[in-house]
Amino acid sequence: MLETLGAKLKPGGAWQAFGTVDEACWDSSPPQPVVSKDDFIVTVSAGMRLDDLQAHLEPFGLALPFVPIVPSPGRRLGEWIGQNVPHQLEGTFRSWRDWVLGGTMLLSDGSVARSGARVTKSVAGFDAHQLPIGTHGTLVVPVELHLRVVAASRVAWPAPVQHSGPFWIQRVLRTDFEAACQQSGLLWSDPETATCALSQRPGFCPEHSWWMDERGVGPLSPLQRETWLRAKAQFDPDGRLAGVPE
Amino acid sequence: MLTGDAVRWGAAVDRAYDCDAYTVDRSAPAAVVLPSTEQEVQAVVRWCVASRVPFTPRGAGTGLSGGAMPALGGVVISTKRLNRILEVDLPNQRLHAEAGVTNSALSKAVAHAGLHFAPDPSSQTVSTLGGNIAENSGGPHTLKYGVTAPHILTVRVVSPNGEMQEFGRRVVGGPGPAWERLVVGSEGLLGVVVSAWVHLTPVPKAVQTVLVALPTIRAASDAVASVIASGIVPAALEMMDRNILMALKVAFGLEFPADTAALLLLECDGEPKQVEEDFARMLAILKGFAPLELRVASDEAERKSLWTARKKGIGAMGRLAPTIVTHDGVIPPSTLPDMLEFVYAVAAREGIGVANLFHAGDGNLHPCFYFDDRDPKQVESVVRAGEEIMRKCLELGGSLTGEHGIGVEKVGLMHAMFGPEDMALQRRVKELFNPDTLCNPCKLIPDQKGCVEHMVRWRGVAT
Ligand SMILES: Cc1cc2nc3c(=O)[nH]c(=O)nc-3n(C[C@H](O)[C@H](O)[C@H](O)COP(=O)(O)OP(=O)(O)OC[C@H]3O[C@@H](n4cnc5c(N)ncnc54)[C@H](O)[C@@H]3O)c2cc1C
Repeated sequence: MLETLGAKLKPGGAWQAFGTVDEACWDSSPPQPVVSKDDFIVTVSAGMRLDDLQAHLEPFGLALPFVPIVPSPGRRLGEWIGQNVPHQLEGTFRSWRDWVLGGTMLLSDGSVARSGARVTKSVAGFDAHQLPIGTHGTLVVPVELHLRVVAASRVAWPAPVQHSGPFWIQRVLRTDFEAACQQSGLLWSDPETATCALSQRPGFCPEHSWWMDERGVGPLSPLQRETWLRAKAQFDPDGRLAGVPE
Repeated sequence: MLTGDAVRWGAAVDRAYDCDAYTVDRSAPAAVVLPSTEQEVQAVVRWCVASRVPFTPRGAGTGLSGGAMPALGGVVISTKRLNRILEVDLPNQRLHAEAGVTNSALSKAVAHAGLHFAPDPSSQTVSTLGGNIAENSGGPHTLKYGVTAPHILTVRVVSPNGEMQEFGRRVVGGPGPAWERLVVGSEGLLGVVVSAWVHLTPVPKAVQTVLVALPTIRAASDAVASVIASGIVPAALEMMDRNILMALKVAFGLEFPADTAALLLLECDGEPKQVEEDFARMLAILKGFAPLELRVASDEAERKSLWTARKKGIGAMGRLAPTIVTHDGVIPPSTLPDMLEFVYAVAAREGIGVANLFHAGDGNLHPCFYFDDRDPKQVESVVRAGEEIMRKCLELGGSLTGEHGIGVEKVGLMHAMFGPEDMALQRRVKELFNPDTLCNPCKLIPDQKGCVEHMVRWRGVAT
């Protein structure tokens, strides 16, 4: 069953999440996405590469309105979701937390569980499909995703930022945006979401702001971290999945 | 702790708090408390935990799935007195409010600055921020603006074991998990929300509204499917059928063209140029379905009048029969034409009246059965028809609920949507925040300890 969902068990019985040994986790040739053109929903393997998904959606006149700030070709959907880094179209189309409508997840005990639904609106049960988002594969491994997509004609595709090497993304309150943009190493900025990308770690960090590196790793509040560690103990008691980033 | 009129009990209290707007199941509380501060909420929860007394959070009690019913008795924690707007930050388009503030009070507080709180449940003049968060409520404009979740920045909760916790950030997004996204929609099982920072949305610069009368249900549902398939994202796309129109005529004297089988209310909003373009395309699509009438609002007053039918529809239903039960299910919009035919066929077979007034654009059905609940046979028919419709929603790839939640109403149907491993995942999420059984027991997760025999008791009270 897992094979058909596009996930694989790593030899030795340990599940490893993306960002570390993703190839071990997802099928290298995942099944074709299922597109519901008139409902703007696609069901896709988390192991599929973003570029492949976009190419698959194109003939249907659909697109996932996700444009990374700095291109990172070849990254899989599951990785993007695990890292949950901001993107260039977030001000207009929001991001993964609103696009992942449901899906199937692999748990560290080997069970496969579904959450959410394949419709744009559902409040049946807890939103457990939020668990893989931003958690770097530490709690569950997304296997199959129901994603909300949009008419491609509505998307104005921005130019990618040409940059090699590490970078940081920072979001601040609108009232701090101008000051945030004064920092050196500014690569990109978006007034709509008060976000900027920098080639160096932000030095200006007002109280209500956050930053992350290009892998989606950044400072957490003590409660956020403590709850993450409790969740880790609950969902992955034997430590089969990736560890919570330091 | 709490004294005086902040603690209430007795027969009148039992009657007022033994159910929410889902009146089929009832269970009386031992007491109702009305804390005025978050510290008082915390003290009550701590007392309940220490005394092993179940507790149930409650906002305005407009929930439609029994979520605020004190299923195992115990203490109802009402947020009625947590009704302060704590801080308004207009330049950053955010606001901090206590859980008992009503949805429309949030928008009213910032209307002068051209902002509003986008989630707009029809109950918005009374339903509370805490209730909206717990149910992840939606409304007519959810199609474009989303349900409650994307508009919540932080939630401050008294956890089920009595700790004060604040999840989320005052700036959208950020690294790591977003625990606030699990609290939203958790139906009061993951703690008592005492306050939240919400994101405010600019009032759109331009709005265009049209009310369309169509001769057949098939034409109306095909029109909905075509508008959605075109890629236009209307701000609202609502549908009302003939029986709703009949009720509106009887109750308020509202008239629509003879032979109207369904009305569609569509709205586009946003930047003027985009609105103009989308609206023109939408009208062209609608004209292809041979409408009997197509009324475009020329100003705000006319827009309000076009919305009257939608806003007064449910109220008018009271004229059709003594009892109304509103169901809530979701289907992919492309399946709407077949689904509506199914709804009418089921109602006809069961011999009960059904009217439909719903968020057609996102496939969120609300079949309203009207009947006489003094006749047990009719009650049975309504329950059977509701279940059949829910199962059809699932068969078409939809969901058991789009906005009313699972509560006690649909807890028995969770197994129809989710398998044993899926339910095990749901239980794990609950246990992460609420490993005990005291905070809002018997809701959302089926077969909870101590709930099965009580279920018989609630139903017993209902009949
Ligand atoms: C006429 C009518 C129209 C409606 N229209 C809509 C609609 O358009 N869209 C929609 O989504 N819903 C609608 N509803 C349903 C209902 O209004 C919403 O679910 C609303 O959000 C409930 O808010 P409330 O304050 O009444 O909460 P309650 O009914 O008091 O409680 C609902 C649930 O939330 C929990 N809860 C309440 N407050 C808190 C808190 N502070 N912390 C934790 N948990 C809490 C309760 O335990 C319960 O499980 C409608 C209901 C009616 C009667």
